[in-house]
Amino acid sequence: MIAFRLDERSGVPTYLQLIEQVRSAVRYGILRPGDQLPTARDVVGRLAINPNTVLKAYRELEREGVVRSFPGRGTFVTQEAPRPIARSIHEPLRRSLRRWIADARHAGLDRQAIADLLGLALRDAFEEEIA
Amino acid sequence: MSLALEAVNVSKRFGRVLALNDCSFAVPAGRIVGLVGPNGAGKTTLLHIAVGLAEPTSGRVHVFGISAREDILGVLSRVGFVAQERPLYRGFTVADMLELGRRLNARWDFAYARQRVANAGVALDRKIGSLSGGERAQVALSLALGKRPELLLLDEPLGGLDPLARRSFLQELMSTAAESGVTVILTSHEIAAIERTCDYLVILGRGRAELAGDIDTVVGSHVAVTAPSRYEEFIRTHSAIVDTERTERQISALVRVSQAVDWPTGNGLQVRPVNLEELVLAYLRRARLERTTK
Amino acid sequence: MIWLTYRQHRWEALLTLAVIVILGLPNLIAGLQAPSVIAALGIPACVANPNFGTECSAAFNQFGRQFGWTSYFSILFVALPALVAPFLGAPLVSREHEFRTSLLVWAQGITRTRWLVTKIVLFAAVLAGGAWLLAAIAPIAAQAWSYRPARWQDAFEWSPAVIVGTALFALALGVFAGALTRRALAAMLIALVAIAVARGAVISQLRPTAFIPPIVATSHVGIPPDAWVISSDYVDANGNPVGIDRLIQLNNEFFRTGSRAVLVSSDDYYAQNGVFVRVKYQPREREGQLQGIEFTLYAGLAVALFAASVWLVRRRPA
Repeated sequence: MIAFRLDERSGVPTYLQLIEQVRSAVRYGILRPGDQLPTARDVVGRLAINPNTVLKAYRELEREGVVRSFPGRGTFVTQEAPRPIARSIHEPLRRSLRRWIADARHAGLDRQAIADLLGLALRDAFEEEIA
Repeated sequence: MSLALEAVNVSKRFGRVLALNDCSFAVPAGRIVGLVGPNGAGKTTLLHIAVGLAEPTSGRVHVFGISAREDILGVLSRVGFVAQERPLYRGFTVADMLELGRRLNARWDFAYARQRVANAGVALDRKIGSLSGGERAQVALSLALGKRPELLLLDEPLGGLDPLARRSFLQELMSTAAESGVTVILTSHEIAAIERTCDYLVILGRGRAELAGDIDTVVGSHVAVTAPSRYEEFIRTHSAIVDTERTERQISALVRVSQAVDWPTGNGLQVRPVNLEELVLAYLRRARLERTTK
Repeated sequence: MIWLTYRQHRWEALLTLAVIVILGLPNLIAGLQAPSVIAALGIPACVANPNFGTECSAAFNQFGRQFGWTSYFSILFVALPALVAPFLGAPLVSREHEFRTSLLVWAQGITRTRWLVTKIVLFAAVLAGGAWLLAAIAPIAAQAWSYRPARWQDAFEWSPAVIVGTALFALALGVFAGALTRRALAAMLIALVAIAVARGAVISQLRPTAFIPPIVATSHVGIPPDAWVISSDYVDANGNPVGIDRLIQLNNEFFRTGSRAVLVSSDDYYAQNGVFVRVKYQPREREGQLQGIEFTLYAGLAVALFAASVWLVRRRPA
């Protein structure tokens, strides 16, 4: 079962954060087809947020076909949800990333500097593509 | 959609002070409502009138269509109320307080109330006088919920609570709302808490409702405009100004737009969305300004 | 609501009972012992014979040594019902306001009227019972308060009519003060002063002269020995009191001039000279009537004050 976390300072609306966490969990195989999402009551009981926010997120995910809600039973990841990226693909990437981060730290960058560097690189890469 | 609470031209005078001045707004059922306003804006008075603890000088407050004046027991059977002071009887135990709820209410779900108290980690044999602030708040909430109300009115429920107690209280409140669909109206000065938990907003200022609506809609219909001073006329004619700040050469305004505006961006005019805190502060500033200039 | 009243006020009830027992028990015991001691000391004979000798003084002193301490309690028996006003009545409504529990209890599921009326009825019932108990103990305790049997006009003060009536009136006065001021301390002070003034007015004015106008006699002869003499003075033909100098003058004349030979008493001589006896008294036969009127007064005022309290509680904000 997925445990949601909220970053209040990120400026990203709560329901979008929830949506992204579900998508990410599906992408990395943490949530598999048939798994149940926590009920709205459970989520708000932990995060102390408005129940409608959770329902809104689940509705959007249902619209995207990632989950389906069954009245009285709960919300479940659908069979049609995007297949997770294979471990064989994301494991080595994750490992090389860990090495890169170790190098950056060794060079004296702190966490924020590393995140900035990564953000710049992402921007360059994806904007290059558009251009 | 039924209206959980409707204020219709409510005025309340205390001696020479007009706490509420022709206040009107409505709250649909099923919402979690944040009621904000400066101290003395009449929030407490409004809640008291709704539940029959005070009488309006004129106007009425309806709860699901009935007012306390015509049918006090009808209102009380559907509304749970926790006053700002969270009053409880000091010499009583928690079990005694729940028994009080059982005896004084026509409908009472003892198991539900007991469960709520247990969720909060408070033992039934504790004396009220020995409870911490957070525990008292939880007991007061459980007492209000025991009658399974359709509307819950909470006056400054987070006041004086430490962050952990505040979080526990809101966790309990939100899960109750998720479970039962109860309409909640809470007053608070903490906009962060309101942003987190509420989906409907009512701003009281100058004794009346300055704003009432879905938070998403309300926030979406306001923008912050920063522009050179010569744009002031344009801003005025294309939107409703809530609050402004002027320097020699610049004007920065928080405005409400009722339809899409083709802002002439570039040449120094910038438009950006606002967050809830800015919006509320802008309305409150406006209310205070008008009060002092009267 | 009955449960709530009991749960909220059970200590007050217990305390009240404890006070009655602590007050009443020693006095009751003393009162039960007193008659046999009085008889053993031969006091009735001394009282009957006005010219008593030293054995009688010794008997009186012995009685005083053994039972003298109880006379303080006679005041407490009278004061206790009145103290209901500041200590039981005044906090009833005012405390709820002060601690803001009115915002709790009036937002549950009962009307304010039912809340207050239930409390008043229960308090009144318990207090009436306690007062009745006190009034039952009092005449027995009174046997130790004095070696003479109490006069009916003194025993009046601890009759059931007065004790129960006072307790109910005091409760109503206290509750009203509390509903009016909504502050416990102010209510207690006001209630204390008000009940003292009221009882003082009853004892000094209303009971002697206002309930039933006293009988006015123009002679000391013919007044029943057990009458309650309210005033005894000399007046002229117009009813104005005569000064003491004139009385002394007449009295000296009477004894000097030998008018004694013709007239029976100095009073007749005075009458001849335009100075008349005026005695106001209440006969014993009126005891029941006077008690009935006094109780009705207390009860009537209590009902009015209770009604006013309910009206105040309903009307004003919580």
